Amino acid sequence: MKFLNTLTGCTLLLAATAVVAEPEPLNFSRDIRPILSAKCFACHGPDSQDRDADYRMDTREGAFADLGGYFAIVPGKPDQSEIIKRITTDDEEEIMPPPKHKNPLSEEEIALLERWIAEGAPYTGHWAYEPVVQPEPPQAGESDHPIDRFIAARLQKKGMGFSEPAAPETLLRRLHLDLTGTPPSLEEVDAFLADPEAGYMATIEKLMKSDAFAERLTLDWLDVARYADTNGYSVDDHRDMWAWRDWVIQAFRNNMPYDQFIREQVAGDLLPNATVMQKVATGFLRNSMNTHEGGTIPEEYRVSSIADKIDTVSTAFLGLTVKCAQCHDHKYDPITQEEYFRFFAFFNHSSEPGMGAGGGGNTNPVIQVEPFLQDKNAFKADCQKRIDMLEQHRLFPEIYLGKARRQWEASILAKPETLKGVGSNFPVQTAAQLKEQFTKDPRLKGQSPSWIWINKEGKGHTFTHFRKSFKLATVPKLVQLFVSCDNEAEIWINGHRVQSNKDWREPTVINITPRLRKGNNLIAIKGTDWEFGAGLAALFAYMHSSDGNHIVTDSSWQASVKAPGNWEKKATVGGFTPAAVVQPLGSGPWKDVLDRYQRLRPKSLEPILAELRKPDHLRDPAKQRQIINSFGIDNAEMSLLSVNINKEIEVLKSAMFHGKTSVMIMDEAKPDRKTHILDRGEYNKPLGEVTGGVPAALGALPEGVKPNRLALADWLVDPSNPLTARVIVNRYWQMIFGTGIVKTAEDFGSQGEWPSHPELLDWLAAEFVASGWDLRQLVKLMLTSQTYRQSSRSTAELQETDPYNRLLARAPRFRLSAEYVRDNALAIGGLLNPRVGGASSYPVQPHGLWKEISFYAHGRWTASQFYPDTNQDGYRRSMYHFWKRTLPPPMMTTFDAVNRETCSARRALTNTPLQSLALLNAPQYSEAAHGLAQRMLKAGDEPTGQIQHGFRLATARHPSGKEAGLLKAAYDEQLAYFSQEPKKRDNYLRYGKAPLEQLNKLGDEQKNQTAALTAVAALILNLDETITRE
Amino acid sequence: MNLDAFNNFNREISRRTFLHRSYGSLGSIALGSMLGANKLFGAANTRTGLLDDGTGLPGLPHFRPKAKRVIYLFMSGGPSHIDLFDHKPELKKREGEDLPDSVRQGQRLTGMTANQKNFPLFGSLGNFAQHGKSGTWMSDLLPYTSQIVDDIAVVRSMHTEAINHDPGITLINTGSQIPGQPSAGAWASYGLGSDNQNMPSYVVLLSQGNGKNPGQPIFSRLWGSGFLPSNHQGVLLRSGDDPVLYLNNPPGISRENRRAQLDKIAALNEMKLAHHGDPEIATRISQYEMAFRMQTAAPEIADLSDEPQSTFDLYGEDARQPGTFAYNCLIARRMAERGVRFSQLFHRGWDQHGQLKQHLQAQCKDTDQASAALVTDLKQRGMLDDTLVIWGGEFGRTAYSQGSLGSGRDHHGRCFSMWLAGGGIKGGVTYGETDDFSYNIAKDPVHIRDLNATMLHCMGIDHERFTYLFQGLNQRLTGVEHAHVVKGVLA
Repeated sequence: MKFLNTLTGCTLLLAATAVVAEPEPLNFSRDIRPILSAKCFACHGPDSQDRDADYRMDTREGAFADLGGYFAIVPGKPDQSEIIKRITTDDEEEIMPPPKHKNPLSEEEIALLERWIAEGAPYTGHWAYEPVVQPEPPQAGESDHPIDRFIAARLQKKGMGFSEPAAPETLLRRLHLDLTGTPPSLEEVDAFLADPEAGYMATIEKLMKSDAFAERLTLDWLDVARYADTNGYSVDDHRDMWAWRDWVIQAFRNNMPYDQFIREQVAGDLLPNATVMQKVATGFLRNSMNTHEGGTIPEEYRVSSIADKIDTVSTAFLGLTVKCAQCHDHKYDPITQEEYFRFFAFFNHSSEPGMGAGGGGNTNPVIQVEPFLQDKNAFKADCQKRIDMLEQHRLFPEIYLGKARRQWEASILAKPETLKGVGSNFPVQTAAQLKEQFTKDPRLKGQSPSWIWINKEGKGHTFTHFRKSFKLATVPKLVQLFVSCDNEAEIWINGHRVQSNKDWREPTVINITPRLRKGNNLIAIKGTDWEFGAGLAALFAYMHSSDGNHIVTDSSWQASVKAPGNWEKKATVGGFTPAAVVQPLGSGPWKDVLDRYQRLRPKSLEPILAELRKPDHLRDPAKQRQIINSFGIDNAEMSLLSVNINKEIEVLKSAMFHGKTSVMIMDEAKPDRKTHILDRGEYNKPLGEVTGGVPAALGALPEGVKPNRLALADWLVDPSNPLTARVIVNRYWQMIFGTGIVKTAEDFGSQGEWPSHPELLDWLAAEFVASGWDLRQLVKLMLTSQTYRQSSRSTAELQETDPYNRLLARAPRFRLSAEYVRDNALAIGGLLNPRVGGASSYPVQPHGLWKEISFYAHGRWTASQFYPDTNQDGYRRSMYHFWKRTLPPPMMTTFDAVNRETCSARRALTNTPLQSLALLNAPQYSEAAHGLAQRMLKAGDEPTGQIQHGFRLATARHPSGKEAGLLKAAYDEQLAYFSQEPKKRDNYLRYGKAPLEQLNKLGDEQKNQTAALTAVAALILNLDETITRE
Repeated sequence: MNLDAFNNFNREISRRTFLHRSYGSLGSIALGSMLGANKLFGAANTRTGLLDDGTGLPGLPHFRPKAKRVIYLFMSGGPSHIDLFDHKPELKKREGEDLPDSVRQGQRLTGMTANQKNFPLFGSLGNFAQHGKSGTWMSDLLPYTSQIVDDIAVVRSMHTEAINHDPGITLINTGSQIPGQPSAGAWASYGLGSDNQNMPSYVVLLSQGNGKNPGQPIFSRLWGSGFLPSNHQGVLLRSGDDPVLYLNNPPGISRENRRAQLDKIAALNEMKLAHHGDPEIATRISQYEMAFRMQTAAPEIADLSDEPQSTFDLYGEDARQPGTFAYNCLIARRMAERGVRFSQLFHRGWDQHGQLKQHLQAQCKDTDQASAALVTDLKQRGMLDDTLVIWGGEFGRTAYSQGSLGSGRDHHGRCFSMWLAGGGIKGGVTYGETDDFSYNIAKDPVHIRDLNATMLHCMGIDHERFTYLFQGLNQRLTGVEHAHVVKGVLA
């Protein structure tokens, strides 16, 4: 290779610190400050609360101060400098850092510090806090492109240069993957190959105008903004924030300037005449997690949600980690605890309650908005489609209940004479009939069936105990008790615990006849309100007897908060007083409880008997629903499943009815709320009062400006802000080149890593601001460089010299991110559904994962059982994958997706056997292989051509002769296998998405060929090259 | 150099040595077996520049470990220490009386009982007796655990700041109430790597108790990798046909067919490697080989057909039933035999706000026999000496009743009990004391970070030197506040 260098012995050592210390003059920021920060600042740094008061070295004044006749640092004179004495002494008492810190200086670090002082101890502030000044690109290399000149300059110093240009196919595929996550079509490849030079800019322009590009930038932002579809803490139920995600897509579609992008998300609601869209933008700040856990102290979570906003804003826009300063002054960066709470004050005026709404879902402040990436009718159709999908899961619940439904159906068919008894012989079959009883029965005259509780206020009680005594002359043939209790009830008849009712929405109906006796009887019901402890344990009960007698809940019942021993058994106990009526039946929040009752109690199974004898796919949905309702009465798991599905349907129906979705936003509804420094950051320990402000080391708000979020946003995007532009430019560099110029994209502070190309970073930052914060322009600048366009091919020498490719003597080569591993495979298989925007989708995942960890049977919460989209929605881009924070999609987390609980500016990139298993075996990858095989089949009659075609679809290039030979050999091998194993072949083929009818038309030979081709397609999809951006 | 840099440096050298070897034209099988012999379950992390092949960090363990592996029996929901471990005759005597204000000292309560007018004390549901040579007090709700008291150390002075499940369970599993930190198992995997070529170093098993059902939710962050590379996240081992996600071949694909397919994939990837020179390709080849081995290793762990009847006599017949706690305990022993570094069982349903008696009995019935059996079994096999077993939940429960007398107990973090056994732990120890109401700690408090420091100590790790630089901070499992190894429970 022509760029060989001879310094391998030296660079071997340097590789580990990512090519930081080159044999050239010391640079304080690069070589010395990181040592001081890592080893000394903990005690001699910005933390005024915990600092060794005598000495501070994070400022020039402190570092060189007169310490009373001696100096820590005497420029040029290491032997007179106290720090050198203290870091080299043998005295255990004297040595720095103190041994108990277990953070000693290495020999190399000591040598560097000595050399630094000997060279005159030049001292500068931390580079990232210094103003951005655009440097002149150096004269280096052959390219005029400014990026290339910076890159070439550093390469030249190492005696290196750029690699040869990437092959046109590689380059085109690289562009497509980088900008859209999916490969080019073969038409696009062929067109490009005809004239790569002319096609290059045209391709960039075309891709940048595509929705897929807007989606690609959006996806990147979702990690930073910790976007999710669930609330995150505890029960982790669903939330609706996708309108905000649509806002982001729209912003990138329109190439919204980045300063506006920040201003609207941080303070859109405070802009003059704020539009609905601008308010939606502030959902960015509301992506914080939220809890519904009973017993929560709301203020604790209100504070932690503001802490999360601070963490997100500072990491996303400033590349700073400030959370240390919630409890004490920052140890490494110049942020005091007071400054932290001045930042806190910006977010402290919203009306967020801290604890999530009792019903789940979104928490105030919210607005209802019409979707803006689709029209209202399309939106409603989407809701209906999901409802239909959920109904389908309810009607055919095999993936949740296994064989239970079929077994139940078989038992029904086996004993038709018992059909009348299925469900119940309870004479009252419908809500209408029940209501009729109430109005017509003379014995009920004057009685008012009601919801009752302990007292009218209904406050302060988690438990309420209810009792009702009654006499029976004889025990009737059938007596049934209907109970609904908010939230739940345990029921005793004459001291025998007979049943519990877990959820008032699904009333319990029990045959209590066996527990009754002649003479005195007692119904005892313990009501529990789990939610807030300020309970409304409200009860409705109705006892109906076959001899026509009734008992209903009314003020003749007794109630008590306390339950003396055996309260459920004894004829009389103390402490009970008459229950209070809350609402008559039919009103209050529980009004429709009888209607729900009707749903679970079909009149009889007679009309659906015929339906039961039909195979599933021929059944009428309405009749199947009746079957399932009856099944649910006999099968508690089915009943729970149905309740759980109803919860999600309720949310969808509401959205459909209004034609709007809800989205959480920011407001300033609590303008008078004071902000205090919190001792150790604890919510209940307020200290002094503060007002909004920014850290002094980074600047100040203009005089006279109201210190609110808008002022914060304006300060963030002020061109004088040293961090905002550097941070975003770096993150886009990371997106395109895999690693940021500052590798620690989340940390530009004192402990962050020194930039590989500091001048380039500043040049780009200045250029970006000057362009009007034009993101598209920024990316275009990167894509047009020689640096980007070179080959990613590596050599043993390059691996030796620069294993992490920080110098960019070759283009980076890295595995696609989790989302694009999947999208790419689906696209190659022709299965990707490109629908843009809207609510999230549910691509299939292994069954039961959510249920195993969730509060599923509680019945109250959504997102506790996963109902896959088995229609086209299951093949949408992965960025629309419904994101449950406590168990994110396994296909994504297996490939290093973060869980989106908190802000993340960088993902790891691992290479694991679990990834191999997923690529080889996950259903959608198998489907992609089947899809690819179908595309290959269309490429002609010969396997060689078919394979060639498939390989190109995946890699954009032709296989080499040797590769083609191997693939053909694989085909022959598979053909032999499937020819000998017709049953396995058929099982394998059936697993794909291709219609069964189509497969059944094929002869044996065609089936063998199709199966073999599918196996080769799977092979192609598993190649390292296929999942890699070359 | 910080630890990471040092680590990178060492790995880099071994990696490149390896690469030079692999540039030749090795056959795929040869390459596969060479990788298999040298590399363990793990990953390479290119973007962060952290080469992490799953063999643990150089320099770790810091000193000779007593425990090679951990089995953590996590009781999710907050088991009632008062009814199980912490013997308080005074409570029984004063049953029904209000908790004195002098004891509560204005400490915060959860929103579930903060508004109660009274806080009636309620004595233990179980009858306590002393057991074993050590005379350890234990409730008769745990008859089996009572028989192993001489092998375990009961810590009665655990404490946590959290008073609700989500923050509490996140704190005890990750060292912080705020999400984002790696779990203890992920730290162990990161630091020590795997002792098994074919299984992940950190495996998680879930079960739902017969007490409160559903129990409080749990979260993948409890076994997540936080800011550590994601190959250290706990891998769910599930009951059923697919014990590890996506373990099974698609229908119709035999193991032999898969082998043939993998050989072709490897051959093509090797051609790419030879042409392109990116070492990630070599890693990818080795990961496919490991995946292939895991396809037999994982089901083999779940296949109990080689267990004699005596196993089920010991663990209980529940252990035949996949998905039960007893089954998971048996699986944990089988994983320990195979060198899985960190196995963690999550058993839900320990949240007895109501129906204390029925639900607590049910939870104990689920767990008591199998937990004790696991310790006994490990001991019989000579593995207890180098296996650390930990039993406990995120907090305890109140001495006073939630709702009517005896109906339930609220969360209590100011003191609770856990037990430890095995590698590095002294048996027959009762450590720490609480006051007469089991409300406050009277002696030898053990914070969760102390427990974690002790766990790491048993594994040969100095928790203060076991750090990972993230967001500018040398992060550690034990957090920024000072943590102590609990010497009193060490052998």
